Amino acid sequence: MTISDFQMTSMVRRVVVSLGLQTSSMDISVINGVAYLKGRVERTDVTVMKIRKEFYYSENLISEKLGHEYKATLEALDRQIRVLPGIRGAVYKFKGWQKKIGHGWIQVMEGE
Amino acid sequence: MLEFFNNLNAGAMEECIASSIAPVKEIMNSFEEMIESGRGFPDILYPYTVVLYNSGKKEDASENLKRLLALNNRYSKYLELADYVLYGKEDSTDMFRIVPSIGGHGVKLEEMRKLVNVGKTGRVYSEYYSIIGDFYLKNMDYEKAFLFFCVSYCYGKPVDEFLFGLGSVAYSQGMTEEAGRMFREALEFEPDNMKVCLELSHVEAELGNDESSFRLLNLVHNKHPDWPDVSFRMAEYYLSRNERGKTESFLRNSLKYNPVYFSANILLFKLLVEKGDAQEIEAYLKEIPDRNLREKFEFLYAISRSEEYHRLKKLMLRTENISEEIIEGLWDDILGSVDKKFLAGYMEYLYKEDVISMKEMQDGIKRLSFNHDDI
Repeated sequence: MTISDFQMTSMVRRVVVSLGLQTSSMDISVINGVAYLKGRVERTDVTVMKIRKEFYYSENLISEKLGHEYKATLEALDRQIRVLPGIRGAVYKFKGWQKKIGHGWIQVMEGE
Repeated sequence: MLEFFNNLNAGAMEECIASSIAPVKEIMNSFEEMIESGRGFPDILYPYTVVLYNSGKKEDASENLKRLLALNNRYSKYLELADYVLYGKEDSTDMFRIVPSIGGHGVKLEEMRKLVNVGKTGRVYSEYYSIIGDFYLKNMDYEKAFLFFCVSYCYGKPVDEFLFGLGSVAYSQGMTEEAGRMFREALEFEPDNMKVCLELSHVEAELGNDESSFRLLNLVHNKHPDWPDVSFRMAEYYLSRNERGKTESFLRNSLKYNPVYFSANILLFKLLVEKGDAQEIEAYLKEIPDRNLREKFEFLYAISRSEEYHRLKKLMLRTENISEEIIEGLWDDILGSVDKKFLAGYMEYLYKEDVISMKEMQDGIKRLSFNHDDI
């Protein structure tokens, strides 16, 4: 049975929710079997808050530690989306993050 | 998890309430951070006020609520909170509902139904514990989220909201059918709960119940035609049924309220290119407020018309990240309609012009999935 984009969009959305990411700050769709996610990757869980609290004295350290956290989440996101039935590709347009072929997820400065 | 549900008793609830003090500081910090970063929206100010009030910071709660009412002084939920926070209405500290009985097959609704029409005592407590439940849900601590939603219910949280919380716990863990059952039951109590309708529409779509999903979307759309996400979902539904006229109409409605909605723009552009009305496409391209997106569509439209290579190159070089999207297959339907020899020739042209490497050219031609000898 073919799975419609309509159905796949909901599947992708559930993956986003299950990883603790906010769907309200994301545009999620599946177009011709290609998942398309755009917006802000946002986590508000304790791990993220603890990092902010623990390294309050250095913005650089916060950014580095959060970078590792978010990278792991984004890797899981991509992995889980690509194994969904009917999905044949994924395009991401996240603020502050880019997925580059051969390099994986790279943190980028705003406007880069 | 179900074993945990079955063991839920008054002792566990008391323990749970006692432990609720620990996360409250974290919750307050996160609200403060959001407000500091300029996101002092009503949906943040409201729970923040509730948490402040229940933590004994009555003056701060009162200040915060005044800010909230300055933004919106019509919503009954906010006005009800004002009765407690600003005008000293007493909140009941007693739980007045029994713990709902949870079995292997889920919440026993017959028992819960008997309790629906109780008064609204314990209102702020109910909101408070629900906020803590949401906090644990975001942290993926599902057992605690569940427990706090139950406590919230016992203090008077409306049953549809309670079931919505439980359904969300199930949904976050991938228990889609279970989530669907909870959301459906929530709607039995409050058919007008739009939050539940939307969430259930996603669950129904995932379970392959497209018709039910659409019915729910339609319900929400009739009340909120200005919600662009809902219009977009309706467009996706109609496209899955190949009803292109309706798809286009819902996409245009979505863009009326959010002209920079990327997914809606992409889908509308594809529909218009397939339709092939040059005047309509050009009019649409002029309307797109996002320059990057407009430039991308101009390039794709030019390639769909097999325009001259040098013009394509010029348009392509100003278009951000187009190659990544092409590789992922986002534009296959547009490129698929273009003559393959023309595309192969374009890649050779780009190689000769030093825009791409020989390997990129070869990979590109390979992706066209036809025999190189045919060129």
